[in-house]
Amino acid sequence: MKSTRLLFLLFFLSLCFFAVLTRFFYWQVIAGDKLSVTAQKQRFKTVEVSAPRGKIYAFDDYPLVLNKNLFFLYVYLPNCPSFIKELPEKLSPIFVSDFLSKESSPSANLDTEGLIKEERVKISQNLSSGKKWVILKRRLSLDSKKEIEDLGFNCLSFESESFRDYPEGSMSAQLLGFVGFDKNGNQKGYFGLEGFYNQQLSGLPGLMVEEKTLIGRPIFSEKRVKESVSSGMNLNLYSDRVAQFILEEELKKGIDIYGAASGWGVILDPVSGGILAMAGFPNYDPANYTEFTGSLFSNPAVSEGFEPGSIFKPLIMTAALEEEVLTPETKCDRCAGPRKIGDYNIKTWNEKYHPHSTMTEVIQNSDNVGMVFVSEKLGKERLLDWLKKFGFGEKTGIDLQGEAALPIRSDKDWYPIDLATVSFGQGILVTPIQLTRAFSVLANQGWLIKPKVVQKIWLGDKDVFLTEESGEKRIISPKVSEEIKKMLINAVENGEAKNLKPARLVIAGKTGTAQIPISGHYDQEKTIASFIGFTPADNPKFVMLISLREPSSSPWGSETAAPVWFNIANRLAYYWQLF
Amino acid sequence: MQIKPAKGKIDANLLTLLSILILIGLFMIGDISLIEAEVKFGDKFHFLKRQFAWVILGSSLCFFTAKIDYLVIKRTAKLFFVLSLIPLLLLLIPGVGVTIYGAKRWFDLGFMNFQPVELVKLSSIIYFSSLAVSENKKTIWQQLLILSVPSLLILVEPDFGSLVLLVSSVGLIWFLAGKSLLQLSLLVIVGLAAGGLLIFTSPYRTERVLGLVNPFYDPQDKSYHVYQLVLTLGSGGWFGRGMGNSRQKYQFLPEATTDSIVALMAEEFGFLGIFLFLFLFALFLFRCFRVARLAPDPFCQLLSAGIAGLIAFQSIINLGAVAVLFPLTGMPFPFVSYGGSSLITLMAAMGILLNISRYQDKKCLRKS
Repeated sequence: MKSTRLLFLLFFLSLCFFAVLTRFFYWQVIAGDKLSVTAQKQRFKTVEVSAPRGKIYAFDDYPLVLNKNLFFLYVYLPNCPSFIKELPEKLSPIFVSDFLSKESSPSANLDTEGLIKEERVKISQNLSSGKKWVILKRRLSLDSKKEIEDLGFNCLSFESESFRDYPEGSMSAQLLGFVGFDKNGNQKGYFGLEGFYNQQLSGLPGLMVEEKTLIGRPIFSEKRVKESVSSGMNLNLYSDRVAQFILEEELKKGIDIYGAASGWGVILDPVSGGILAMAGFPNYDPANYTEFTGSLFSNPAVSEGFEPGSIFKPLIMTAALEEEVLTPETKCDRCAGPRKIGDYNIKTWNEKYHPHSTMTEVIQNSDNVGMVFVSEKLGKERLLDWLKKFGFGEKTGIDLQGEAALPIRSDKDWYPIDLATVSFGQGILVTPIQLTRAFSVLANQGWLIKPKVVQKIWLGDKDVFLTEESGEKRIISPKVSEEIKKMLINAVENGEAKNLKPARLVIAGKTGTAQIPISGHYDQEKTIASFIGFTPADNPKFVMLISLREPSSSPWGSETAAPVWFNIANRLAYYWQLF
Repeated sequence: MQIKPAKGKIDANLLTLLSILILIGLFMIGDISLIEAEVKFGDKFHFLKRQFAWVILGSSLCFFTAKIDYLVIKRTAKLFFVLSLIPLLLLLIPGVGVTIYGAKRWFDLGFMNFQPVELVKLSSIIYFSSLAVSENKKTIWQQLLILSVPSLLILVEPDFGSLVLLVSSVGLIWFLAGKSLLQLSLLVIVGLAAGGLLIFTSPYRTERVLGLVNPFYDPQDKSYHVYQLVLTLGSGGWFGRGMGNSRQKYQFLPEATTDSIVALMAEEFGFLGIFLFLFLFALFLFRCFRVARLAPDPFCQLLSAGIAGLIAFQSIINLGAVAVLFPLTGMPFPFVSYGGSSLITLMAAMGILLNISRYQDKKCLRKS
C-alpha cells in the first residue's frame, strides 16, 4: 500500500469534512437567525378561540340553555398505516352507541346490528376516499371520546366544538331559537332569543398563538394569548319554567284532543310586560334543528298574523267606554235582526238576536250585530285612532327575532263594512303578542306596556344591562278598566263556556271563533278558536291567550280554546297560589 | 504458506470510539423518534427498541467476524462476493422484495427489511482487496468488468447513493494498491460523466439537484426535504435548542431518524455540538486508517483501508446531503442513523477491522 497515497486520501477526506463543517457553519450561524424565524412560522399558528356563548336562564336562575363540548374525530392517514384495517370494525359500535344515547326516545326494536354494519361501511368508504385527512365522526360525546381513546389508536385525533345544551329538551324551542352556522362556518343564533340577542350572547373571540406539529397537534399545552376572549353575556328571562311546562303540556293536549292543526299560547305579566311563558306547536328540537323543516323555527306567537275574531270585541268596547259614547248599561236599539251594510248581511254567530240588550250582554252573547252598533257609536275616526292606541299596526318591540310587522290599512281605505267587521275582529290581521299586549291594558288599569322576554343581561357578577322602563302610557282610565273587567267577568260567568270555568277562580275573559280568510273568502269550516283573559280579575297575575288553528272536533272557541285556557289557569292558580 | 505475525490485542481506542458512536446513535434515536413512534405504531419506543436489537445483533456479528482468521477471509473472498450477489439478483424477479418510494432495495425478513446492497459493499471491498494482491493479477479493465456486475444490479434498483459508495470504495482500493494514476484519472472523469448523465436523465434526481441549488424553489413539494433540512440547521444556531428540544422532529423534517438524524443533532446541539461530533467521528476514522497503515500485509492494509474508506465516504455522502452540498440519496449516517442493514453490515466490517488491529506491525510505526 502506498503510504503517500494514503496520506493524500486522508488529506482529501479532511478537506471533505472541512467543507461540510463550513457549510454547517453557514446554515447554522450565518443564515441561522433568518432560518429559525422561518422555521418558527411554520410551527406557530394563530388560532381563534371562540368565546363561550352566553347562557340563558329562567327568572329563578333555572338553566334553559347551556353549553356543552362535543368532539369531532379525525385521522391523518399517513400516520395510521398499521391500524387502517381495524378502524371500521372497532369504531362502528362506539359511533352507534353514541348516536343511540343522543336519541331522546329510542324506539325499542332498533336494528343495532344493522346500524353498526352501516356505520362500518361508511367508515371504510371514508378511509378509502384518497384524502390524507379524514373526518370520521362529528359531535361525539366525551364518553365516546374516552372510549375511542382507550382503543389505543394513536393516529386518531379529536377537536372539541362547543354546542348548545338544552336541559329541558325542546321546551321553549320557538322562544329560544337555535344556534346554527353562518356562511363562514361561525356559530350564529337564529330566531327567538338566540337571534335577537346574538351579539350579546356571542361575545368576542380571542386569538391564541400555539405551537403545533406538522399535522396540527399541539407540541406543548402552553399557549400565548394574543387577544383575550370576552365571553358572551348571559340572559335571565321573565320566563317561569313551571308555567312554560304547564302551557306546553296543556296546549299540546288541547291540540290532540280537539284535532287542531296547530296552536299557540302566550302568558304575559300585565304589570311588568314580562313573558311568563310562550309556546307554539308543532315545534322542533333546537339541539337537532337540522332535522326539522324551516317553517317550524318561527314563533307563531310573534310572527303569525291572524284575524282574532270575537276576542277583539272587548277592545272596541273599551274604546267606546273610554270615549264615553256609551256605558255598560246602554241598550242596543238596532239588535233585533241582521244588519245590512252595503251588499253584506251581518248576522250573529247562532243567528239568535237579542233586541235591546245592554252592552254587557253584547259582550256576554258575543253579539256581532251589537258590536256593529258600538262601532257606529264610535265612528270611523275614533275607532281607527283606538286601534293605533292599542298598538296595532306597529311591532310591539318584543325582544325576539322574527316579530311580524302587520300594518293596518291607511284611514282612507276603511269602508263602512270594514268598520263594522273590525268591531268583531274580522278583516284585521294581528299577531298573538299584539293582542295579548292590548288585552293587558284591560288588566293593568290602563297601561300599554311593552312585552319583553329578557329581564336581565349579565356577565360574571355584574349586571350589564337591565331592560329599561320604556315610556309606557296610560290609555284608559281606572273607571273604564273596572267597567270592562266586570263585563268580561260576566262574559265568563254567563257566556258560552260558563260550565267549564274553574269554580274558585275569578276570570275576566272572552272566547272567540275567527273565520280564516282563504283567497278572499271566509272558509265556513276552518276557524281559529281562541280564548283570551286574565285572572285573578281584581289583581291579575297574568294575561293569557290560547288559540287553536282549525280544531276539528268543534269549530268554537268556547268548546276548544276555553277549556284549554281554564285547565292552564287552574294549574297556574295552584302553582302561584292565586286562590 | 503465508506467515502470520504474532497476535496482539485489539485496538481498544477504536473499540471505545465505535461504542461511543453507537451510543450517540441510540441516544439520538430515542430523543427524536418518540413522537413519530407513538403516532405511527402506538409505542413510543418502537424505533429505539428495534435499533437496540440491531445493535445486539451487530455486536454479536462483530464479535464473530473479529474471530475469523483474515486468511480465511482472503481465501473465501471470491465465494463470498459471488454469494452476496445472489440476493441482489433475486430483487430483479418481479414480486420479490419490498418497494419503497419507487425503489426496490429491500427484502422483508419479517423482523426487519434487509438491504442486500449493504452486504455487496462489504464483499466487494474484500474481493477487490484480494484481487489487488493475488499472484495472477487482473488488469484494471478486467476488474472494472467484474465491478460492473454489482454496479448494474444496484443501478436497476435504483440506488444511486450505494452505487457511488461502491464505486468510490473500490476505486479507493485501486488507488491505494498503486494502480496507474493516469488510468484512475481517466476512470474518475468517465465516472463523473456517467454520474452526470444518470442525474439529468432521471427527473427525480434532477429535482434533487435543483433543490440543492436553491432549497427554496418549491418548499411545499419538490424541495420540501431540503428546505426543511435548512430550517432545521438554522434553528440550531451556535449552541442549539438544547437536548430534546428539537421542533423540526415534530414531523416537519422527513426521514428524521434515518438520513436526517445529523440535522436534528445540529438543531439540538448547535454548530458547536456538530463540530464536536464530527471531531469525534474524524478521530474514529483516523483510528480506522491507522489500523490500515499498521496492518501486517498488503491484503489486510487494503481491506482495512477499504472498510475505513467505505465508512468515510458513507458519512460524507450523508453529511453532504444534510448540509445541502450533495443531492439527497437516502444514505444513513454510519452507526448513528436508525436502520438495521447498514448498522449490522458495518459492525460486521468493524469486526474484521478490529481483528486486523491485533496484528499491528509495530516496526511500521517506527519506520514512518
